[in-house]
Amino acid sequence: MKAKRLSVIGAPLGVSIVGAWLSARWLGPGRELTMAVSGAAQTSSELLLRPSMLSFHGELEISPDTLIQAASAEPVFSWTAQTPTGAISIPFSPYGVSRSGVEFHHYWQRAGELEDVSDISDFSLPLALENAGRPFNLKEMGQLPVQFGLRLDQARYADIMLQFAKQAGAKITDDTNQETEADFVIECVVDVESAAWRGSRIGLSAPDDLSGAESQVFANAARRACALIGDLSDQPAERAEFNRLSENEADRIADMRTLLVAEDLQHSASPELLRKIDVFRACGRIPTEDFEVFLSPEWLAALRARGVQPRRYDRMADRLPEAELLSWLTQLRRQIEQITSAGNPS
Amino acid sequence: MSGIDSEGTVNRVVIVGGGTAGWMTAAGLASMLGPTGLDITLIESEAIGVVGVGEATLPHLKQFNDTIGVNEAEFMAATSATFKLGIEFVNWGRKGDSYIHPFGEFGLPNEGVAFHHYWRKFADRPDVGPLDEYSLPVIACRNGKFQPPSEDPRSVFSTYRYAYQFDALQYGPFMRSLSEKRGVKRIEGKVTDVALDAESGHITSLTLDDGQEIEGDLFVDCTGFFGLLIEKTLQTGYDDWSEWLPADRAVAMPCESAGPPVPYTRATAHEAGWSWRIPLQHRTGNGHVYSSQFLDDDAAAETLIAGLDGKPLADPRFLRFVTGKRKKLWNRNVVAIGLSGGFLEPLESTSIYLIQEGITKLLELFPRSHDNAVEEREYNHWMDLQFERVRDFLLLHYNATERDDSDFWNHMRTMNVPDSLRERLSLFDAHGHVSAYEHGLFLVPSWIAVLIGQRAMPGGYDARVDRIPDEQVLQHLAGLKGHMAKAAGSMGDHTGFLTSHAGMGRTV
Ligand SMILES: Cc1cc2nc3c(=O)[nH]c(=O)nc-3n(C[C@H](O)[C@H](O)[C@H](O)COP(=O)(O)OP(=O)(O)OC[C@H]3O[C@@H](n4cnc5c(N)ncnc54)[C@H](O)[C@@H]3O)c2cc1C
Repeated sequence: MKAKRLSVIGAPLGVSIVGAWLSARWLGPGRELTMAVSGAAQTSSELLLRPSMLSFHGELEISPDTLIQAASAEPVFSWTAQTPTGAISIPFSPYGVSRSGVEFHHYWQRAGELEDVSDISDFSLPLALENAGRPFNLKEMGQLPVQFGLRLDQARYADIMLQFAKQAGAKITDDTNQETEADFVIECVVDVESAAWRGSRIGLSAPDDLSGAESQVFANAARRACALIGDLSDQPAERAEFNRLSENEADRIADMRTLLVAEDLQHSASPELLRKIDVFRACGRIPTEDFEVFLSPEWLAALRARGVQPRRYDRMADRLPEAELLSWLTQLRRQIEQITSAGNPS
Repeated sequence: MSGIDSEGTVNRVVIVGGGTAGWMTAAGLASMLGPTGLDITLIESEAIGVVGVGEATLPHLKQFNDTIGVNEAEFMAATSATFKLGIEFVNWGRKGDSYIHPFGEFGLPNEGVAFHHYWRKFADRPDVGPLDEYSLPVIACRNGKFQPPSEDPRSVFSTYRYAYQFDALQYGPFMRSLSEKRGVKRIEGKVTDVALDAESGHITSLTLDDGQEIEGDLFVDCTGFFGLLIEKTLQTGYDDWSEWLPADRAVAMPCESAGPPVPYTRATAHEAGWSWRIPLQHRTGNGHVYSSQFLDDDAAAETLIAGLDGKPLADPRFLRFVTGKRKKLWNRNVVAIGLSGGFLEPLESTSIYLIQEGITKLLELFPRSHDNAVEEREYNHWMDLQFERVRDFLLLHYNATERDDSDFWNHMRTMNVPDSLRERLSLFDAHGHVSAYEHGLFLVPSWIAVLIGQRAMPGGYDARVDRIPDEQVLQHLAGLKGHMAKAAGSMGDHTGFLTSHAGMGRTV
């Protein structure tokens, strides 16, 4: 029986991430996977891998250590975004810690109504770690109650993933004319459009204007395609599902983009983003959709940076006696200082 | 306390209704917001009484109990409760069929591919057997076993959760005593009049049959099918879903237990509906849910009585309802929780879960003032989604069937289902994929249990299964089946556990 041939072509980052995943999770008896990169990876550019990329690599048995050594990766606790009023830091982990099911920012807001308290970013362990001015090793990272991603060299990372795919049996070629030979083609481009599966072709696009979104979108698409393309025959139900999920993902990324950059938020926001803005402004909660790319602390940071402030805090935060609340906040700041300075060579 | 007591703030909550919904709401609010000075009053009328059914629950109730600090052993002893690991469905795919929808997983995923795909490839082989044999909670149900799940994710005993089956008439009083201890004021009386603010249309006060006037800032309508505040007063409107869920009657009748209580509820399909059997410590709850379009009351009662396991303990009690939900569950300063907000029929025991969800969302969005349009909209958005997703899952049971032995089943099997369900069914039908959602009650294993249990076998399976040699998959299946059987064998007996941990007064 003729082997089923799948080709992954296009931008180096997309081809390497998608191809690596498919080589480990799709390739098998009676199947061929060819990867053809067009254009060189941006040699000097840095790439951010969001925290969830660690489990993506974990499933491929590529450890953070491997990436640290082979692609000069460094742990990161936040990402930087541009807004009309300047650059902001968006942490991957919550400000402070939640208590009795109520998120920290409600307590912080209540404390602010009682007395002067310092900015909420002073209660962010991830931001403090980011500004600590010293490197953190993996052992330390494992003990910290924060999520972290990795910042690394894009070209070297793409190379690691390509080599991984090759070892797993994928064919790597320079010949970008793979389309004619293949039963199914996945083309990776860098763009803000959502991915679309039409006939025997998936066009995957990932945005490069939001740090970390690009690799995340390729990784999500790789998982999704791998689960749904099956034996590469035409599958209308799976195709519809793939496109539905990809659209949801693109919409949520577009929401974050709008939130960060739109001059007139109220008139540019989608209904889903408006829901987040309105509910946050009304009561400090951030509603989520079925499919989200960004984590709740990221939405919180972006909303606050764009001047969206809750009118009130969650009443459940009033359960904590005033004195206890204020001493808890002092204690939290002290703990953050201790963590960031521990082991500091200076 | 940060302005809460100043003018215009919401500080007085009045709950009308003392059934399961009313007392759960009172307990939830008193536990979570009582310490902030919230004033909570509950009005109930013993003369009107409660609906008195609603005895099977879902695992989420344990979380509710834990959050508000309910002691499990005390709660179970006070409500004659048993443990529940799933629901057995009899006669649903075809007459004579039986499957269990467990509160847990089937097998274990491998290389990111869900277990049922591996099983599907070899489902026709006799040595592979039914999917049920790969689920620990299903095997435990079939063998009358129970043990609390493990918290260690590596253990096979972490692959399930449990719920309770309790006496509905004992549950209200238990929650009442807890609520009163936490400061809830109870008033016995019948609400006869409701006063509205002329400008805002908000409710300002209620008048009771003894002339007492009760003022409030926020009113929770827990008056059951009466919908006294949300409908009779505010005329909110109702989304009638009987087009999809045509059952509109039930007849209930408890009976004596026929043996030790099993750790599951049974739902047996009949000619124009289905009957429940809920085993409690001291009796069995039974009822027949049916569509009056296809069956009359006498025939429904006959079917129920013919299927009882033991001697009846009361006369048959008939109930009427219309499946659907209020157009808005939160309208102005009224939030409808419980049957006043909607009812989707008792299949899959979702009603108490929806009460719990309503309370949780109300706590999350609890308004500070009457200017709460956003909170209202968000609450309604969330609850609509919950109701719609439950509706689709319930409808699945009626639609994914081969039964063609009555007008009712022919109608249900061939109906136009909502698009949301149709798309899910076609995705599953092709290669067994289930579209997962984040915000809904029923997760992927539940959809698989019902679809496969009702013979909606997918045409194919995830092609990644073919990457693994057949012998290896078969060996894995055999190993897993043996492991599950052995694990179930090592579990204790349900009745024994009830006796030692839940105050069951007799040994069997
Ligand atoms: C046939 C059937 C089977 C069911 N089985 C299940 C199940 O297995 N699992 C599940 O989760 N759910 C089930 N349910 C749903 C479950 O019974 C209800 O969700 C639950 O009992 C809550 O009811 P309630 O408190 O809203 O209403 P009710 O129990 O009817 O309480 C209404 C309260 O309002 C009071 N009241 C009404 N009018 C006034 C007035 N004017 N003044 C003062 N007080 C007033 C009444 O006195 C009463 O206290 C079932 C429902 C039915 C119909």
